[in-house]
Amino acid sequence: MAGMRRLELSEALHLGPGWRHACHALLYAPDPGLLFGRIPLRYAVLMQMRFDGRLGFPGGFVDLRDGSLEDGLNRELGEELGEAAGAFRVERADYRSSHAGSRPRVVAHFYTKLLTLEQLTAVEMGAPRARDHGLEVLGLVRVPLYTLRDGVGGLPAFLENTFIGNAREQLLEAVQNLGLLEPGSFARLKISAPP
Amino acid sequence: MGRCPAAGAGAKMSAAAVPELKRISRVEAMRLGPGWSHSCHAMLYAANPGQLFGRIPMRFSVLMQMRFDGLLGFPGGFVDRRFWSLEDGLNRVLGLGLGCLRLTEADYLSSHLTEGPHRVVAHLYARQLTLEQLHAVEISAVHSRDHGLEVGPPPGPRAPPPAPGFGSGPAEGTDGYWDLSVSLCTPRRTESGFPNFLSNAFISTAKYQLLFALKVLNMMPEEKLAEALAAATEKQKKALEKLLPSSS
Repeated sequence: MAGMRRLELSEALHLGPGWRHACHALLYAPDPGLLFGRIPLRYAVLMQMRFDGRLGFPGGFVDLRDGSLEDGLNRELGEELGEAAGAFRVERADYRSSHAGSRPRVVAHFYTKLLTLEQLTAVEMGAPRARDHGLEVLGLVRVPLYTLRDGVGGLPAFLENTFIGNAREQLLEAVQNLGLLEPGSFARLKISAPP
Repeated sequence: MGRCPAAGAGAKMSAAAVPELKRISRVEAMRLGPGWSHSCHAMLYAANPGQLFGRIPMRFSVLMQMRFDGLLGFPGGFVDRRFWSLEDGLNRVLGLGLGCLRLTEADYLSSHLTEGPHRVVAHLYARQLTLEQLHAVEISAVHSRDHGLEVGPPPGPRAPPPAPGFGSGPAEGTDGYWDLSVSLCTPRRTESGFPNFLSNAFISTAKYQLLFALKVLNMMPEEKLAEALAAATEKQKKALEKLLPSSS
């Protein structure tokens, strides 16, 4: 998407009818598990491999004539993730940011939703049965939040994948703002993030 | 972004061909000495008659996974040949989620010497399933994830040297765990899907193996593979340019 700029939600909602709205959600849950019995996972964060071979967050286009942004988002989550998405609802309180691109004219709204690990694993288990599975959604992935001893494996390597739109920036911002990494480790990440 | 197959000691490249690791026969692979580690991975795939958006033929669904280290790869892992045959080792690693699916010598496809300083020979198996069977594997794979996760590397005798990208990976057993299964659609024409997918971060052996398998199983003609790979490399270059500050 060409030149995305951040804007306030109120401004975004007043954009004219020539604009399409998209909503996506980062679903996450605390995870007490240990990788190889020693590396804390800290949180399970869901992303998905899309039909176009890029990683992104679940969600999609919403039509404001049909309801609120959140109505549309929750409907999209149901289609992409299946029945287990019905166990929770993403609300306005979960809203984080809006970014508008000019070509095409799409404004992307981003949400983060804290779930229990049980709710999140229920989503993962039900995902292969979701309507969009194997078509628009090729599969769900978890984002590794740790960095392995080589300084690359884990989150830095994950960030070298191919992401849709500004999903990579949304992920980095959320990981930082929600405190998902080990304290202090965000600054040490050997990655390049655009300003 | 060192994940695309650059011309290295183990790979040969020509303008129109798809780069390959050095292939050896199974017999030669079995004769390699104890300084060599063996990894076994499986490509499970199914013919897919479906159409994306009602018009793009899916052709095949191929299962891959997001590994513990943030790279894409095939399910499988290191096999300690002192204790297991290749097939038994592979099934043991996969068996954490695949129920009665057992791979045999008949599914063996190839052995390749991997790049890098560590002496690893990578064996690839391929099995065609029905779409329903593949879907069943996807469903059961998620259930088994936690088991693979908690099971760390067994306290072992010699640990194989870490392969590139493995970092502090396990001494034996799954390369991570069945985190998820990604079913990949490989559209007939070079739509952006497959080149985008190839521009992701792969454990390098898996990328070579994927391209090799698609070619020898006649799932995609070599010219198309080369085109997709070239497009993917371009995308990676462009993405890298965007991320690095211009002053560096």
